Amino acid sequence: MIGRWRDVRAQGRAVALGLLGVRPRGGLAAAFGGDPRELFEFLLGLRLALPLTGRDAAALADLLGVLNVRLAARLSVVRAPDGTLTARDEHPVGLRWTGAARGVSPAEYALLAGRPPRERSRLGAEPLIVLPTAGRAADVRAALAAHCEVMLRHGHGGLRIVVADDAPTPDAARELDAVCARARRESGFRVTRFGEWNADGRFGAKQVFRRRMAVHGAPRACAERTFAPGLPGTANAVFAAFAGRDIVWLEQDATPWAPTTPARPGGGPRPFVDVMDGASAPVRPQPVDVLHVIDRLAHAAPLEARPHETHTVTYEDTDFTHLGPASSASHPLPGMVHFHTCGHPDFRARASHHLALDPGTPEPARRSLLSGGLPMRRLLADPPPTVSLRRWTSAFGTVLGLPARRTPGPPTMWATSARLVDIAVGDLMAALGVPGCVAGTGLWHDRGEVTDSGRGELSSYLFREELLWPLLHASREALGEVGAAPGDPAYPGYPAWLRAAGDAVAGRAGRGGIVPPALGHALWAELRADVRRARRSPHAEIRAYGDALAERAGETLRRTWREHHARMEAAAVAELVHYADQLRFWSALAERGPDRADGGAAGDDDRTEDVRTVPG
Amino acid sequence: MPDPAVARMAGLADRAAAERAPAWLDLVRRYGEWELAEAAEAAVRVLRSADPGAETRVHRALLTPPPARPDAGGVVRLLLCCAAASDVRDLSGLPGEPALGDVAVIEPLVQLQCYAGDLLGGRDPVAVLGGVPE
Repeated sequence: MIGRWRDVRAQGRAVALGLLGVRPRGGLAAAFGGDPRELFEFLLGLRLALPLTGRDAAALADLLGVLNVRLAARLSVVRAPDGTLTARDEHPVGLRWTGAARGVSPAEYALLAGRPPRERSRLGAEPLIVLPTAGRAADVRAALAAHCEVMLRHGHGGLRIVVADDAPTPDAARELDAVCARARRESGFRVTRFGEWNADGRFGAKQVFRRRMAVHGAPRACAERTFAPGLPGTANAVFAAFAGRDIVWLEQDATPWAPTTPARPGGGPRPFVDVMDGASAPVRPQPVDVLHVIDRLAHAAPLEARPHETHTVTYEDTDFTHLGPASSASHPLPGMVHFHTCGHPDFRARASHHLALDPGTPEPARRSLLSGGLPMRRLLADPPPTVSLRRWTSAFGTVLGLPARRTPGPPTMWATSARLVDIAVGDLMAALGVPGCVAGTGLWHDRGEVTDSGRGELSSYLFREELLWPLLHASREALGEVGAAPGDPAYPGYPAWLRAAGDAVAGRAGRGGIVPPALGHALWAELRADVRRARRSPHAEIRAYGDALAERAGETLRRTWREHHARMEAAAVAELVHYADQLRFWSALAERGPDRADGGAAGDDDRTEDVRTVPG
Repeated sequence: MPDPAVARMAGLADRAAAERAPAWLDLVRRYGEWELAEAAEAAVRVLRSADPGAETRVHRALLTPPPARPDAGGVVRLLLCCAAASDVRDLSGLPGEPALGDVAVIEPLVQLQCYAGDLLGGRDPVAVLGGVPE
């Protein structure tokens, strides 16, 4: 076992070193006139100490600073009382290793030299790759092409890819079948569909599965909502149908490329450079070995990720750069592995709202914002932090890894229209004591005008977001009451825990007071002012936006703030009641234990192995 | 470019506070009973931070009990200045076209501007302190 851990540690570092431009021949190695292998063995974590000359120490100093961020290593240059210099790896796991040092393997050299090794060793079981999609053939074709190319380049050929689609008709399904068949032929991946429809007009595997699940142990409306077509329902169907499998979730609007840039306006290290549309910045796309990064963080997080208890939720709401102090305690292995989001990051609707209303915003940017787009690109200037987080607030989206054995059972995504749905998955895991990891690299993400995540027109996107924070707060409060997480002798098992969680959320809904009056009043006052501001705009599309806001806000906006607040509170209570019902429904599914759904996700020979209901 | 209306408002507020003018004391008293005081204070905390982008946003800050409350007079002064500004960008000191990161400053300023409307009951901020509106 220890040998495998060391391999991954070395490979992980080799990838990082390669991205940093450190190569075994030339570059820094030249400073080590004697045997550069010795240096690389140290940098790869294969040696705990390396004797150094003063000149070597000077050459290493900057590099160690960068590597410590990138690798979460504890590399340092130490001067002994007699003046001898040694580079030391003081990583706790590194020190535990007492076996003989071994040489740099050909695979590590290949990675360091920027070449993919012929074979990749994996720490976890073979992951199932899932591509959730609304089912537009052109989007799926592009996403498969991008991901398959990079996975093949990194030696991950032959894996199974499930296209989990909501293609609404048999005709659309036929087009998707053709896309999948072509990807199979051209890339060698085992691409199958888990969709609503088959090309021949019969129900598709996902629809068969959700109909089967919906008849068990819950009010019909709740069951249907939990598995309804759309991102949350598809996620729930995937969680339930492929329970027990490690999943790599690739959203079609994210690609496995990190858009790096040498630009550092203002100087100094900074992970991100935001470039507004129309401004230029050099971009160097770097392919990211997504599967390897997920494997490394999911199974060797203590080697790579620095533990933090929580991250500060900032204006952006979903970034991972504002962190509290590093934690001294080690974390259990993560249940979710995230990436930083480049390209179009996940700014909340309020950001677009303020920019759209700002008279200084240029017209093309305003148009983009009003249609749910983002008139900017985020580029990676320096490695962002690689961290393990006990408590994090992130949208589920873009690309992530879900190692199944880390969670006591399949999670469930809050399936309603509030833009809370995806964040609730991480909350459920945090309540169960499972941390998440964020990788020190970012992936390109495109927020088109039509997305699968329900953005679209800004006014509706803004209104779905209003209730987010109070609901999140209330559901966390409720989940915090459940207690007895796995590992605790009093832990009642996943189904009973979910039932208790459902009861706690229902209890929270019953107590009311979810939207604080100060928040209700503030939102009412702001919205009225914003509608007035929009209606005074010289731009017709902003005036139309103001009208749309007023219409969505409804009658209560023209009445007192207390009425508006009461309406928000009622909506929040209804949302919590739905979520409580869903948690109890999920509990009932988990209670039933492993069970085959003959409808079959795959329509091929993988089916019986993969498709089952939620195991207890 | 500094907004002359804001400079004038700030001068008026400073004088009223120094003289403990009845209109000023009345405003501070109303502030103490005002339902949006907590929200205004959250916005002020964001604006006073060295890194507004790293601060908890107002809507989220309202879910958790606030730390120490800022000085009421300072908040009232800022509310009045925001209300007097014709364009919040004059107050923000941010150059050029707005970038996404600027929203961390623009949002709390816009919020204070609209809260001020509530505190002043729609009255002109200059007139509230006995000045003559332009």
